Amino acid sequence: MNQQPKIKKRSHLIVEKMEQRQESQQWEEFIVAMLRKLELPPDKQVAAERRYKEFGRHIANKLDVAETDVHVVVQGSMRTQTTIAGDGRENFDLDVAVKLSGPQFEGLRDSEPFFQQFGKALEGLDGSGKPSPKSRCWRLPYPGEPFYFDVTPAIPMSDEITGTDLRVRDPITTWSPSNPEEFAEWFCGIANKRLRFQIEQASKSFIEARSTIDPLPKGKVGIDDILRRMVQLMKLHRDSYYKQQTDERKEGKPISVILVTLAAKAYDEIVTHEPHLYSSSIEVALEIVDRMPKFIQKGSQSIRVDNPALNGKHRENFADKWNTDGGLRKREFDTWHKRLTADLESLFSEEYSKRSENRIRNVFGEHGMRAWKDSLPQGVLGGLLASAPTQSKSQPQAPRPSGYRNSLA
Amino acid sequence: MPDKEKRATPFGIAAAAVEKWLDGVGSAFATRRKIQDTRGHVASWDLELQHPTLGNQIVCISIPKDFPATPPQVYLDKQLCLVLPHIEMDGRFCHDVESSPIDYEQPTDAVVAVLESLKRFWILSSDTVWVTEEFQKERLSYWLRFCEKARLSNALPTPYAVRVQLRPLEVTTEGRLCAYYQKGQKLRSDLMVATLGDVDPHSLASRHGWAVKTQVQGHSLFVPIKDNIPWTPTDWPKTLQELEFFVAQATDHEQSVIHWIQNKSDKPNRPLMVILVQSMVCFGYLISPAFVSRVTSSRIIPVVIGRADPNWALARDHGPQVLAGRQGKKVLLLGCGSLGSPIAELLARSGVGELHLLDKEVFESENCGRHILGAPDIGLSKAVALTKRLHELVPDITIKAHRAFAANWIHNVCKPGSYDLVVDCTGESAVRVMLSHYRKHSLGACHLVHAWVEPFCAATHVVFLPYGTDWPPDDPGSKLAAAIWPEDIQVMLPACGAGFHPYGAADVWQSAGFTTERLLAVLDGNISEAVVWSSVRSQAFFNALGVDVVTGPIVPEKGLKYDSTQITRSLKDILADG
Repeated sequence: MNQQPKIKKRSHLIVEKMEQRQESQQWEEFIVAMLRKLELPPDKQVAAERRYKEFGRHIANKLDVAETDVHVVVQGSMRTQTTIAGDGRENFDLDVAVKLSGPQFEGLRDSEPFFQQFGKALEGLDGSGKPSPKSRCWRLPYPGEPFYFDVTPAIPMSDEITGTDLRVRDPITTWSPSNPEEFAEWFCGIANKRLRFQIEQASKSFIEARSTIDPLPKGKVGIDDILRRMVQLMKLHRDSYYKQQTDERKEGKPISVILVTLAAKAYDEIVTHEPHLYSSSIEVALEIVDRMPKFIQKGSQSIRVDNPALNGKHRENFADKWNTDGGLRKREFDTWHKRLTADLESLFSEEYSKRSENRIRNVFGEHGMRAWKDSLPQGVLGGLLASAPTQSKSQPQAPRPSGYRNSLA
Repeated sequence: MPDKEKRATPFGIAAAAVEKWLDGVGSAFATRRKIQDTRGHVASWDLELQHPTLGNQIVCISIPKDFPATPPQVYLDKQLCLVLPHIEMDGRFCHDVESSPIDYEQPTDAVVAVLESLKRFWILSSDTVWVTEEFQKERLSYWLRFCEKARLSNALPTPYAVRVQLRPLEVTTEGRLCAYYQKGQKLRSDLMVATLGDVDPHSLASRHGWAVKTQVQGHSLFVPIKDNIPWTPTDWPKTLQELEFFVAQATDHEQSVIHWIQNKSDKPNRPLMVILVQSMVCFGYLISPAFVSRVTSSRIIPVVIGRADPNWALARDHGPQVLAGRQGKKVLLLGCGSLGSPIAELLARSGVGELHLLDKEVFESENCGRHILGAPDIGLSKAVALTKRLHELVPDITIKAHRAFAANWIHNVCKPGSYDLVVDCTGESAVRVMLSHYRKHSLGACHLVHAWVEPFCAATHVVFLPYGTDWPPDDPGSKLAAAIWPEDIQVMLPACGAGFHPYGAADVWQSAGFTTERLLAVLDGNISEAVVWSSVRSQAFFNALGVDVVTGPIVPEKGLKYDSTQITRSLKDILADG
């Protein structure tokens, strides 16, 4: 093994200090707990699932095609399991692709009529609001629910009838290639890989679980799913960061798919080539962030972040716009990335007990900070206390009178 | 008890108000327990609360039978004892809410206060840092519960009590151990006494009357651990191997518990105890011998340790520094009568290192009303009986009795430089004069105090004579007196010199407290000038005596019978006043 780095990495030093303070477990628990708060609650996940499962039949009816020609697949963060509440919007953005096949959709040249027809077909779903067009998808709100769907209609690539590659409407290029399932598969394939220390921990805790006679109440978990949790964390940080920036800068905000691709590549490199070098999830997390920029391909002509799941014929450059915006997006990526690194380092360099609102806000956003504060169980006895007889409630701030306390014996 | 009658009492009315709430509008959040619990509460309700880390918890709030004199109690799952701080072994949550005078009027306020406390705890207890800090803060309490749990659960012979005579220690130190067993009881010791170094634990136990029945001598090992080493439920060693590891860590691998045990195992069945000492707080492990030597390993039994050394037993009044000063002091007390005997006890309890008591008299039954000694001591030497009593009562003091007349003893026995302070409580002019003449010859460089009370305990005077200032040999006591008394105020008995002044223990013990407070100031080195301290009753007290007394200027004119004043005067000024 000649992979031992000669100089200690920054991520390693931060984690080493954290270990000295014996705080890494606490930090991991905290991050996981925070992200959980910002995920779509399980009951709402069920509700969302119930909703999109209605899409197929409804659209088939409206478009008058066989139900077997309509396939609804989740894509994006739902598929990669990295959904997270956005920049303070109450609503979760859930991506769904509707794959349409059959003669009606073969050999289409123009994407526009197809796209509009699909939009119409989306109308009238039970509980949904009016769909509105986006560049590739229709946004379908569900009033009263904490989520909306971005529904992307997709049809097979015209020359590849049996292939899984899809194309979707693009207002500029007419059609764009798309492969949500392959991309998600690629991502999950990497995200599910584990580092050596995780494997050892897992087997150790299994042994411990068997030998502990009097187990302490459990319920806390560390970061086991490092890549997914990091993607969530990055999205949160990005959204909260850009919320404070000018509209001009907001334009250049790094898009999720680029973050996901770069992070996955960084994690893949770590997990494939250096599975032994790390001993803590936080160290790996910091290392992922550190390595992301190097997976942006900087050619002489263009900057590329290729869709890793589209091989061969149809290449897709997620960073296409970076080459035509006068360097805005590249600059923004660099600025944001630097900021993320600094915020994470400053958060983790802090003593856990002193974690401050400010630093939590920097990393997890206003929304995250509020979720954190709300989660402090102030409300736990609220109902019962509110039902107390009025005389008890009348002076909530008045200190409780005590008898004379300096009578000693 | 009929319901009506129950409700009519203050406790009943208070309980009813809470029941009305929690069975009424509060019932949406609280479920009344149908079955009466065994803890003797009037009523209990279950609350279902979601805990951020522990998940769903059933919490029980109970109204004690003497509510609101005792605040409402909250019980959590008793498994949480030692998992979260402030949870007792029966699951009771220490909410730190004390009863308030308004609780009788507004009983539900007490419940609200307790719930607010629970709410705060609920928030804080999800923070691991807070949990650890709380455990560390009150580590002795939690250790106590840990030991109790061990005693109840593992059937190992936890001794009923362990006492240690601890001294500040820097390094790992060996000591002795003595275990006492009731007749026929071989496993569980009634008491174990551990001492440092060569100090004999048995003589300590005998001195204080702890020794019972069979004794077995053994060994102890005191291991100091640094203040910053955490000592919370997760840190406590639970096996011999863990203890070995802990001690090795704490001593930089200089001490091995296992080696120590092996070295002591030449004679089997000797009790062995390892005592970890963190900032003078002791945490003990009794080593339970292997059931089958070399086959089973020794087990460790966590034990609660009570300290019986002066730094703990006598330090409630002052810090260890003051106590250390007093422990180095040697005091001679002349006269063990109604004033001298309580002063002797007060000095002993204050931590004075060595106390010598001198009195020629025998304790008589008529002394019982105003003395420290009592009926069992009738016929015994006051000095000897008092010495015996204080030797048993007060840890670590060196105390000696001299049954002698003061003048003889001072002339014949006392050597200059023997004492830091000599206190004359004889109240006798002859002794004061004798001391004035013998101060250089017999006392040398030492402070001297004369203390006496005037008739009826109407005034107490404490004359402080630092080394270098003498009491004039003409005994000018009248110069500092509160009053001029007639000759015939003693109660006369049909015997020569057997009259007495009437006053009670309640009077003279005030004088003893007044005097000792000032003696301690002298011993602590806070006084350097010759002064006279006086506590003087008001004029009304003198008037009520019904005797022909002429009061002086220091008697306060104002005030009722039981008012008094306490003053400090310079001896020089008093003597100069002619």
